[in-house]
Amino acid sequence: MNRATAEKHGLVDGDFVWVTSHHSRIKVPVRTMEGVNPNTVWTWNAIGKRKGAWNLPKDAPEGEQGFLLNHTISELLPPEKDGYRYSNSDPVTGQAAWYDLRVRIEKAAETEQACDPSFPPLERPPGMPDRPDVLRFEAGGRKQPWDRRPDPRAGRRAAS
Amino acid sequence: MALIADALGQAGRLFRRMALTEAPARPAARARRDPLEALAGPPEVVETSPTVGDEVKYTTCYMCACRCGIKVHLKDGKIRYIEGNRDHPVNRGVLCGKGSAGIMQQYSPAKLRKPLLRTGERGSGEFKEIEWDEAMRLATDWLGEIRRTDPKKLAFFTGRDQSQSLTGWWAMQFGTPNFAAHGGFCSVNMAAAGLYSMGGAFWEFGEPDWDHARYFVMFGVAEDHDSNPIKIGLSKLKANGAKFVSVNPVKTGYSAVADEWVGLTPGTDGLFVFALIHALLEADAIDFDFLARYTNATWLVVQNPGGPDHGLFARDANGVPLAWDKTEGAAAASSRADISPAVVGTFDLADGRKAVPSFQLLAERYLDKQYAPEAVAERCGLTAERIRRIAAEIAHAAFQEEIVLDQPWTDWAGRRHEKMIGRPVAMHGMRGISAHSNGFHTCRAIHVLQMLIGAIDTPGSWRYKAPYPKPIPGGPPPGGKTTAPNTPLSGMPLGFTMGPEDLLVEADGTPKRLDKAYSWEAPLSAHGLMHMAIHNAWAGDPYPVDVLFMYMANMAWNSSMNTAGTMKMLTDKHPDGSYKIPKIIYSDAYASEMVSYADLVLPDTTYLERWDCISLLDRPIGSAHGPADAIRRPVLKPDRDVRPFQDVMIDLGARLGLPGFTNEDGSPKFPGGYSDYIVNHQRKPGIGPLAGFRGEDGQTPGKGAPNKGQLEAYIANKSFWRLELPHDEAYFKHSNKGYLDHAVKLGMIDKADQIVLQLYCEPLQKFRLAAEGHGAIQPPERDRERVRTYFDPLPIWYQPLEEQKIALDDFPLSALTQRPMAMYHSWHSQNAWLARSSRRTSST
Amino acid sequence: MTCLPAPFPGQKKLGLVIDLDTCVGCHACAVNCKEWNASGHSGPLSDFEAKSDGVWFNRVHTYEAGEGEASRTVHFPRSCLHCEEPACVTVCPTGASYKRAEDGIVLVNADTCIGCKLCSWACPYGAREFDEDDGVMKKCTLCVDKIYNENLPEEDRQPACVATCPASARHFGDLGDPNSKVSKLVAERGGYDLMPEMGYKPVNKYLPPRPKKTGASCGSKASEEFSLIDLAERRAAKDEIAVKTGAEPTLAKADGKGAAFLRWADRVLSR
Repeated sequence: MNRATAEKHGLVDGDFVWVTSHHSRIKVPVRTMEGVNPNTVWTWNAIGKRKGAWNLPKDAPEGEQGFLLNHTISELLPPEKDGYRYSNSDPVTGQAAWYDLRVRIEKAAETEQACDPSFPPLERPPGMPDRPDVLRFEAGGRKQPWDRRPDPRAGRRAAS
Repeated sequence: MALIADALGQAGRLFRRMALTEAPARPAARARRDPLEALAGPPEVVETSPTVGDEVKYTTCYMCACRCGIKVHLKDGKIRYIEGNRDHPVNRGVLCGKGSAGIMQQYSPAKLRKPLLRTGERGSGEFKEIEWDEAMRLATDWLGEIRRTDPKKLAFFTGRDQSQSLTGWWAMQFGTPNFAAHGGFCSVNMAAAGLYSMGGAFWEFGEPDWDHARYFVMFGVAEDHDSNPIKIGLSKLKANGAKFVSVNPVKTGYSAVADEWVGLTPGTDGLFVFALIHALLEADAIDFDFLARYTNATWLVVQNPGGPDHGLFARDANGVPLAWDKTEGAAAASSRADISPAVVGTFDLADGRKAVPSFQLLAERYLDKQYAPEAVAERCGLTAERIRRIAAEIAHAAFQEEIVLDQPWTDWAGRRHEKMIGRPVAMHGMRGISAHSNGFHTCRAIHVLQMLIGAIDTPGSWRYKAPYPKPIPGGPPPGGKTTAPNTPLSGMPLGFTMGPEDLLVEADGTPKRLDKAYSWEAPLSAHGLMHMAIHNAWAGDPYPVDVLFMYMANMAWNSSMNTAGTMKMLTDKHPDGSYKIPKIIYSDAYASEMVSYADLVLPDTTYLERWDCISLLDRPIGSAHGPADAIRRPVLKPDRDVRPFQDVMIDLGARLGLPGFTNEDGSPKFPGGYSDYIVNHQRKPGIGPLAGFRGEDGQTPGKGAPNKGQLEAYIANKSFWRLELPHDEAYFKHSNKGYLDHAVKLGMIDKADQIVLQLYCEPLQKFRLAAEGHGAIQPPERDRERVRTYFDPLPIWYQPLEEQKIALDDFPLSALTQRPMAMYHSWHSQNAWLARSSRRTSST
Repeated sequence: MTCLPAPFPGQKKLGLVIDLDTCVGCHACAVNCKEWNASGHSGPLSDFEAKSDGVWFNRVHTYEAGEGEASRTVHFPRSCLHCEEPACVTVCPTGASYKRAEDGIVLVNADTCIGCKLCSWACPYGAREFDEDDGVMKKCTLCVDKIYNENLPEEDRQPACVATCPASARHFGDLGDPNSKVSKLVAERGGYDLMPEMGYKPVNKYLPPRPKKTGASCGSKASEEFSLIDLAERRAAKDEIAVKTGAEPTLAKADGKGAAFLRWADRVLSR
């Protein structure tokens, strides 16, 4: 978010805030910058992952620190007078209007310094191998008379 | 001390290595050596010409939607190196970070390995591996039952599918209207606005004239759509000294290198554009010649408030719109080349009705004070002075720096012009315009601005990418008005509505499609509403489905709105314990979040393990220089029990006995799978998935008989085909006789008629008239006011719908998501190299 | 402890010229470098699941300079600068780090590197990358196994980061030759050394962002004061469109609408 706006909210980098829309809320860390419209907050798309998905370790940063703004976006607009809810879309083309999202932010309590929501980790499908701890991709390999890795550490799995 | 100890500790290791090393010859150029260095032994011999690989194969990237050509070096059965293909029209040898990380996509530990059948509760991730025979039998049973009873009970939605001409065709043969890909989430506002206004669109159907533009305005583009071509183009613009203005609330990526960053308030782009138009109209900075020749600015609009024809074009007996010919002082067919049409005035038609040129309506609207820069500036988060300055700069570039190419050409009426004269102001827009609920009109507003300054497909402006332009709008109406057991649809499920008669609604207005596309809620939904498929299937609104079949769409995570709610809907049950969405089939190459919510998982290959085509029938890779298409070819064999999704669809089509996929005797029509279909399928006589190397001898471009050797010809041509248009067809394609005739010959359009740009969009008025009580097909009462409000034939701006419904004081901030440079879809944050780069991006 | 080759006249100084004007921070250089070099002279370049990082010869940093809307966002690609006087070489106790006399490329001989990390302490640019899995120091090789590679077509003999850069923000050549393309580019665009005060004489150069075009427009009229009113007058004069007499001039100024419509009514247009 914009640094000046953050200052007005008493926020600095790393603070956790609740981001609340008319639909839902998420708790995420703040990062400030200059080059953003003062009334806009934003995040990178599709980096956050559900824990355990994509054969990522259950404690991978994508699951621990990554988050999804999507939780706060409703697929439905607030109700009409008769209770009907139109989809959250352009009324001409039906384009999903996920850039229309409006929110407020509030600093999270000291005791709440983690992303929210958090879902139970997904299980890895059967038959899928462990993800290696160390990745050493090398095609072909150079012909060396000695093993480049002098001391493979015990308990470390490597894949190439 | 610790450091020294460490160093000494390592020394033992070092000497062990040396003992095994034969001392290489000392290279002549090697430097003097310190005596201490002698300890370390001989200097290094650098192998400067190692063999790069055993084999090179050219194919097409799939790491984002750019579809760049890649050159894959293989060594010992593994990928040694992926680089850009120098000859490829999209990327010309360069390759972005995503494309370069294809190796890690291929060797991802998240690849699915075998078909999976759910054994635990949905969402638990408990599966057992099954054989393909069983998987295909199950899918055939589930789908066959639906097709025999009620085909629309299949909802088939694909994600970032680059084979939509196949998947859409499959849905049509199956007989379900419930098909769409992710365009409804992504770009349909931009695509539809472009296709209904100029017969092309930003991004996939057009591009800035990077070589000649002097002023470039980019709306709402972070760093994708498209990736490499924009980067190549921006660097050209900058080298040429053109000015680059980026309109985007967030200054990252491309915006960071812009000459001017316009960080306006999200959702107000339309107002900003209206203010520019207002200022240009005030100053007469309008290209009237362009308007009269190439747009419908002079077409007469009937003025009969309250009447059923109000706001429609006055037409002659042949249905040709009329213009007012000042020479004759009478209405005349606008298609005549010899008239001198009026742009303003009120005229009496022969039948006594009054009519005005559409430009008059336009000018009256945007000259209104409500669109003055002073009136909109605060709302946009800009100053009026700045908006006026940008308008002045646009006008300056357009009219004072016009581009004149010494290139004769012949216009639609057969008149030769000695030069091509262009207005070098180029525009581009994408997500930041598209993903707002006022995005269609905003994007139309940008196109109106382009037309007013004469900057569509002229030197220096935005240009069509072949096979565009198409007649406006391009394509037939959507199929699916009727569905019946064992019966294909009358047409492709996605199409273009021209008025209420093309909607897919019951007599009472109830939507016929699960996602409510082409209903009164979204009449021009040319890409469907994928984002509503799960919600509506769960709610049984407008009806429940039996099978939800999805491909490459991570709906249980980043491809849904309301993700937590979506996960609940996918697992929600009726009181009797049955799932509200009875069966879910999902195909993906990777263990995405969505996999856990499927009942049957069909594992796909990676993009380097299959055949594919980048087709003119779908989302082509043509450029302003000419049509192009491409293939993917298997570069590696899968090392696990997976099948290309497209092969599976063709097999399923045959097992289900779908007409397009079986011969009359019931045997499979494409026993060779997708590659067989790519070569032999004909959508229309002579027109197939690939336009290159057609005809039995492979010598015919565009339209011709299937060629058995077509794929080999593509492979020999580095996996793409491209046809360079002659220079006299390079611009004014909407009105260029040479181009239009050529396009007909190539099968890209049916008729060589001028494609008149639609400043005023008559189909919208038809929907509005219905809402106002005219015609046999009218919206239900609930939708009436909504349709009346939003179906304006000239672009309007309105507050985004969510903002209209909530207390803005409670939600004072806009919130957006943008893509990082090195990330396109959910595939990428599990890619070892891209994840690292995104982790670094977010930490620097 | 390791000596540098003696400088000689006409010495080749291969290096990179990086254009901060067009770099959009896309990481193409970093990833393409990674894939070439993973199987190259210093490969593999290990990655570690548990940590956020692995071995990267090229890193792109993005930061902002200045405050508010006027701040500038800079994408800054960083890799070894192949200094003329590289401290990373002179501190090396074993000669594993060395500078090639023939072209100035700074390399590490993995076979003699003892992983003491002195070089990474000595390098002020943070260009050295310790591969914890290999136990040796690694760094940009300027694709020494690509730029001379006779198995590749001539036009492909450039570093991976240069060949792949979509924004043409990276250039490769001999900065020792004042007539080379890269030297000329540096001269034209005011290319500069990174932290010259450290005295390591980096060979790689950075091109500063071009001045942002503000005000009027592009091209030759860039400095001319310009407004839409002027334009309207000039166009009116050029097209011989006179504002109709009788129209209220004050009206025309306060609200151009009336006058505009009168002018437009007189336009003679053709299809």
